Amino acid sequence: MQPSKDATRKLNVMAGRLADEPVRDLFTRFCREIALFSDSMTVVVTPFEVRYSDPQGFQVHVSPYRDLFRVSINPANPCDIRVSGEDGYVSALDLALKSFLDIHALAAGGAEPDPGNGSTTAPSMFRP
Amino acid sequence: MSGEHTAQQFDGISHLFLSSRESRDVLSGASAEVTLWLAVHGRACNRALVAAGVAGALSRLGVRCTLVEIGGGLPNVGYYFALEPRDYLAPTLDESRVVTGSVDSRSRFVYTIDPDRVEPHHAGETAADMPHVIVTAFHHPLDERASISLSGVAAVAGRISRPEAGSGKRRPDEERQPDGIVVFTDSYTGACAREIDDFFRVPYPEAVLFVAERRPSGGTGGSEMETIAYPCELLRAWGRRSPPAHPFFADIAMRYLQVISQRRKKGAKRAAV
Repeated sequence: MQPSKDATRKLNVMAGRLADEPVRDLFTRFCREIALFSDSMTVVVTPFEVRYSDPQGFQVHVSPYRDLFRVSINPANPCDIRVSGEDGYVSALDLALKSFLDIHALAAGGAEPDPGNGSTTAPSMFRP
Repeated sequence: MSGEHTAQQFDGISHLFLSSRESRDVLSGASAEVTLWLAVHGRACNRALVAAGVAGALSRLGVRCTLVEIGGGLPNVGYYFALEPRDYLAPTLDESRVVTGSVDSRSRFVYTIDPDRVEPHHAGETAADMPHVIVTAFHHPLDERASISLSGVAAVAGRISRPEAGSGKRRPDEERQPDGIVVFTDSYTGACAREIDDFFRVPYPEAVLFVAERRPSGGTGGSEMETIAYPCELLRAWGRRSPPAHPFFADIAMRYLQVISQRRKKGAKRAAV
């Protein structure tokens, strides 16, 4: 689902909190990719974060600060990643995508076990 | 037209026959090459998953395959072929990046947001004399908002295709029309059926066309098109970082090779008369 014009404006305002242009660009790209995961993705922009959710239970909150943005994947069972560069962006997007796909698989009756190849490269310190 | 409509499993379509022969024998001739489009309507069918599944099935059947996935959005086939996150996510950082990799020793895949970035087929490739299937997967909204034109999709296959393949004399940069099309849709409503007619059946009358629907819609909308069911259990494989090996994909691969082979044989007989 495409965010409304108002949500897009709020998103741009939120991106403006990030001081560095490259991190701002990563924030914008990250939010765009999450919104594209599903046709039924809901986007809510609050004063402090952007919240993405879909009917199957997928949730991601993205909170911009001055030098980085924080990504919280499934806040009920939180996994936080601080993104200040491309490595963090890749980890956060990979984890968010994996979470989205696994939640849809569980909703369909249980995910198949992953053989383990190509597992996420998120730094262990960021894992719950 | 009956209002009662239930999507069939492939096994329930009796007028197509299955052969136990190796599928590589189906496409006879060293230069045999066919193109298959996977047009995905909506995100609920997961473009990358069906693309990886069909390519994997063709590969397991012993056919050389080039898979091209076109368009934005995640996941892409790089996810299902277990590329490192930095590699398969590269196009989200730079839209001009092209993700490439191998399905096996004979087959390869390409993912790109911009179809103009797909490079021509390389001469001297491994197993270049084997029968070749070009699979092109893309989203299509079944309306005029399509971000990629079907002419553009045909042009991509044309660039990958061997110049000597296909019918007649073909320039290396010429469009390659589809031999087969599978339209994956969330729900096969009457409006959807009309759009599929307009976008795929009428412009490409020679292509073998099937519709795979995820949710039975309860009506065919006046279309006599054969529909098959997108197996619900495929959703269980969504998160797994490997191509799904569900029989659904093997059936798609085998049926298309068989039907296209039959058509070619009939065409050859007509030409001989």
